[in-house]
Amino acid sequence: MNRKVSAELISAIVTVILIFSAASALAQGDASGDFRSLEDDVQALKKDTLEINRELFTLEEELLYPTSTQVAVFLSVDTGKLFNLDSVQIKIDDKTVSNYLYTEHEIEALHRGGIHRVYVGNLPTGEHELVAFFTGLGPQGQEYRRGANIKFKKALGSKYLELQIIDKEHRQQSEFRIKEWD
Amino acid sequence: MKCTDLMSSLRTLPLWLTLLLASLSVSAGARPQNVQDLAYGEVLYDFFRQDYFSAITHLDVALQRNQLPHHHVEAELLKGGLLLSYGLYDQAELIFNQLLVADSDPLVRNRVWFHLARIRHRQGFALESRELLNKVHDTDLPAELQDEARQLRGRVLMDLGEYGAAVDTLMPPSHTDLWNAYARFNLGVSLIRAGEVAEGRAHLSILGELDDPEAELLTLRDKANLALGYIALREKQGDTAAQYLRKIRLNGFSAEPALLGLGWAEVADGHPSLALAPWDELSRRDITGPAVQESLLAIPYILIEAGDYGQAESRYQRAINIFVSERQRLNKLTKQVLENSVVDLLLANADSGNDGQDWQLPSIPDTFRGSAWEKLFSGNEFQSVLRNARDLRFLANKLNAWQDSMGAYKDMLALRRTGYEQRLPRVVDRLEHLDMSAAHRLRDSYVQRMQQAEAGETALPTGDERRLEARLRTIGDLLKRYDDGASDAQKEKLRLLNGVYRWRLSVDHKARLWSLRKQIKGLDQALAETEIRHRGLANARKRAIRGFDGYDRRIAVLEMTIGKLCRRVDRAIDRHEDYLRTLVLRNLDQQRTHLKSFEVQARFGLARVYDLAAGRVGESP
Repeated sequence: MNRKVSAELISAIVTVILIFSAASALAQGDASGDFRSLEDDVQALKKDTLEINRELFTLEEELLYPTSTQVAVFLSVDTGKLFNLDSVQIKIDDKTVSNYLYTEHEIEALHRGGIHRVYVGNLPTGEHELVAFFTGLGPQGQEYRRGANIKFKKALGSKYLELQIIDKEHRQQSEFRIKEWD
Repeated sequence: MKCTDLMSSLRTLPLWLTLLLASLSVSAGARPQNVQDLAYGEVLYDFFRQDYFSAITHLDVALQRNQLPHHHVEAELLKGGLLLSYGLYDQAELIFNQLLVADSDPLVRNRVWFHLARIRHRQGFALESRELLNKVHDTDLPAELQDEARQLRGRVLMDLGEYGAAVDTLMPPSHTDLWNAYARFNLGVSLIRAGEVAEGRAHLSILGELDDPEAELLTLRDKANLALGYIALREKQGDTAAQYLRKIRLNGFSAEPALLGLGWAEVADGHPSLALAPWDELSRRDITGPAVQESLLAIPYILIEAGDYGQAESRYQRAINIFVSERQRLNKLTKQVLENSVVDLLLANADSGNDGQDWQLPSIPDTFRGSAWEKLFSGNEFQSVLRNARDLRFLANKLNAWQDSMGAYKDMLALRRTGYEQRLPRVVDRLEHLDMSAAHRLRDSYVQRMQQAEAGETALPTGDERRLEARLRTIGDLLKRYDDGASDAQKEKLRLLNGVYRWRLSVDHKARLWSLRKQIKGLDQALAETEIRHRGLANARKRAIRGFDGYDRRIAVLEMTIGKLCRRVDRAIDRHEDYLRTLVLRNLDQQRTHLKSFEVQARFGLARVYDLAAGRVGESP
């Protein structure tokens, strides 16, 4: 009996090897109808969830930071070779509005060209002053803190300001600028 | 950032996004000052932090608000990539279909279609994958992807059962690098399945002789030798089978069936006693492997043939105990699967991150250890359903959090409404008491003064200067009235003072005129702004009421939609649970049936041992 079983087994193993043991996923056939239906369902749910998230995002922004008073402060970093950013403090009209400590992952995102919205808030129209303090490590690994300030006019539309940390290779130091966006 | 830096920094990203972004190197790796739209930089920040969900939302909002005038095309492509990573294949394909038109960069176009085809194949959608591959011109792909593309075409055709076409596609495998080795393996298998056994065997034999330390190639070499060994066994060529099977590593994935086959090869070759060594080695391995279980039956079978009934009885007894205990373990597992969430059980070793479609099934929990699960767990469909189940939980968590936050939105709105109602009377009062006509009269008088000054009719003295002029005039009048008493010196002094005064006015005239013009311009702007506000206030009052009501409606609709979506997600989670549970239970059932059959065979074997032993005793004197 065992000899017969082993012959059948060998034949079965050959089939299994030929069908399933190939490199990566081989010869698995096309997807079943049930699976297709599940997949369609999930795609529709994901799409609807994204739409809701977009609606919530705009609603929250409109309710908390209406265009007429909205002020947003962004931060961008150049290559980061001459200044390794650690944290940033933002003061508007002498009042601290944000203290942000960056993680390694976030710094990496900044170095790759990402721009971080550090602060969003509301300000009345008129003249204001923003002061930013950047803390981090210099090219020799020494700790240092630098500041930059700007006087700006808040009109009726949203106001966007970008804190820029730019490496000046020829001067072997970073420059800290604040750019106003229209 | 240089292109090479970009590529190295993208290494941790999902592969198709990495390649997609490599094609957008200008924007993806650009220094911040080259990002011309803030919103695009913000999206990149989310994207590089691998927060794909936020990235899609920010990107969608920015596109809707036309905030990406300088990066529109890159943004759309990035959105396609993000939608892919989020598992929205149809939408992503739609975007790529729109953007990757005939005149777009063929390198980008072909890469994108190829990666989509690969994703579709990994999902188990062979037909869709073939359609996408039909759009790819392999020659327009980078060299390193061309072999992989050919291999994928072959696999898709094999999935569809078109082995002849697969052979045509995979022929000829030219080199021995990884993708070509895969292609040759698949070609060999396709040929054998298409009935061209000798030719198929020839390709597998080439792989079976590979001499390369690369782990994947070693695995492939083992698989090729395993296939060759078992084909030889099927053809009852024990010696040939043993030669192939001996080449298989003892620590690889193919080791267990190889050891089993080696034993059978010795048996087929007329050396049953030599089968004991590989089977004994096999029987000491993890019992969940089907080959190990088979060895537990094969060993006493050989012992019977050798006439060692005592050992055979003991081995059968051991096998029965192991099969029973393994079946009991599977029964417990079945109970666990029935009573708990199967997704929880399967994802016990998963992290909580959201890594999109590149996410792979984490290491299989110990509960499901054993090679009997490998086929199920490595299947495209199973992986996709499990990935979807995980994504659905992520959605459910998001939706629950949003549902909880609806109260906060209502509070925000109430706060704004209250603030508006409190501030409105003060603002209205101030604006209504503002005398605009007086302001306009004042402005007109300034304009008149400026016009007179421009015509040279008047100078533009300051307040102090006007007072000085008045004093000089008074002194002049006095000197005229008392002309007799006034000395020449006094008259001369007055003339001198008048001269100095006029000289000062004439010297500063242009600067004073410019200053006055500037002040009038500023006044005009202020007046215009005030008038706009005045008019705007009336409109705002009408709009505010409508706006608050509008927000009320938007919040109510959102609350309702989220509620509905929560229920839909819950139902989808249940469907996925049921689907996975069915597959897992079916597998458990197969394993149990298999074990039961082995147990029955072991009991028969044991009975045979007793019969044989009893027969020999009966024959003895």
